[in-house]
Amino acid sequence: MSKKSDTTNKETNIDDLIGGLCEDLSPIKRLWCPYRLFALWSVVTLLYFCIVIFVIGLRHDLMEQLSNSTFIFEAIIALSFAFSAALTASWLTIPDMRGKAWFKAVPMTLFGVFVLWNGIKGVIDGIDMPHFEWTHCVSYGLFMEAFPLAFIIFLAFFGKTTRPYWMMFMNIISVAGIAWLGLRLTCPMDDMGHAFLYHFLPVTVIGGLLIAFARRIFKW
Amino acid sequence: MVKPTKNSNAPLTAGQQWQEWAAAAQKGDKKSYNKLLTAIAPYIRNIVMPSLSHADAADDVMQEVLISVHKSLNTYDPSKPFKPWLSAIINFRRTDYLRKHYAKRDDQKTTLDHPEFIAQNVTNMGHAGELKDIENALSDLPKKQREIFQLIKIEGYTAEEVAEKMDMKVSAVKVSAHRTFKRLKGVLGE
Repeated sequence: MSKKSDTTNKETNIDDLIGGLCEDLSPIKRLWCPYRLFALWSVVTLLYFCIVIFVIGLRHDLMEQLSNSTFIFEAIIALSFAFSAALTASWLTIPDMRGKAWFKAVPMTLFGVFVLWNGIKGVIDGIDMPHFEWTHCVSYGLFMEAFPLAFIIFLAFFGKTTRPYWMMFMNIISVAGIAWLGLRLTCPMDDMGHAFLYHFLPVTVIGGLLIAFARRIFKW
Repeated sequence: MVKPTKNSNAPLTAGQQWQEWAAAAQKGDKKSYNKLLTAIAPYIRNIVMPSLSHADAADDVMQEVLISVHKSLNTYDPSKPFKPWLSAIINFRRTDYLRKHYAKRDDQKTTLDHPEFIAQNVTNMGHAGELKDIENALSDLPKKQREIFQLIKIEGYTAEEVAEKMDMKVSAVKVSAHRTFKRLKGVLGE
């Protein structure tokens, strides 16, 4: 076959494809603005969070902890990276993020500070690692994460992300922040070994698995 | 919608025109959508071409991008520029293509007339040109005949499978394949 007829064939293919796509077109309902997606997730998650905390019950020394500046600092930073990550995930539903790619730096920085803070705490206080058992902290942590995580992934499906790994990472850290705060409000154990093994590790394992499959999960 | 410029008589740039067509397409205007896709197709091809090894790959990526534009049209905001949105999709699909390409090791496959292939696989360099002769002889065949021959003799389909695929009688497929084989023998020699 000559080069000329090859080119003609390709042009026909493209024309057929364009014709098919045009035929398939119908009026489109535009995706919600990312701020609306974020607001929806935040309201639903906060409601769920309050119900879960109410069911599990607050730690007995919470009032004492509320005057502890370390506790307050950790709570603020966890909430900050959780919600900024959720907002970033909302922007990630749009292929070009509408120029908001810099948003990713906010949760990443806050999350970095959080990890660094806990690392320093671990070095200063020392980490006494217990044996792993399936304690109530693991169950409560998963309970706190399951619904917000499923919901934020569900919302992500409405958009079309071109950064699936970032999207999953943001989803994971937003939910991790919420769950971490929930466990701080319900679990009276403050030592680093307990926090690492029962509060951090389960979400890290689940998050790692989900991030590994992110491209398949957000395939479109 | 496109923001009005200071000089409203100034002609629209390609990006602004695409922005308008995309906005109309979201409302279901098929004509504007056709114009948009027809206009962006060569643009996509020009963007992906330098980073891909051959024109066929660029065409594949272009088709993937057009389909992706169709799937994600609901995420486009007509008050924002169209090109950054399109570029994000182009980059995503190009990366996707290259990932698959390297995973299948397509980059290590060579054509029959590639000097490296000939050097590695042809012991008698005097016959090196024959590989190209076979390709040329095949390309001279009528389309249908070539397709039948390729499916049976190269890809290993049975005559029954080819007959079903091409909506022909089994006997007609067998006859066509046999004739092609004889013709190639005649052209290429024993």
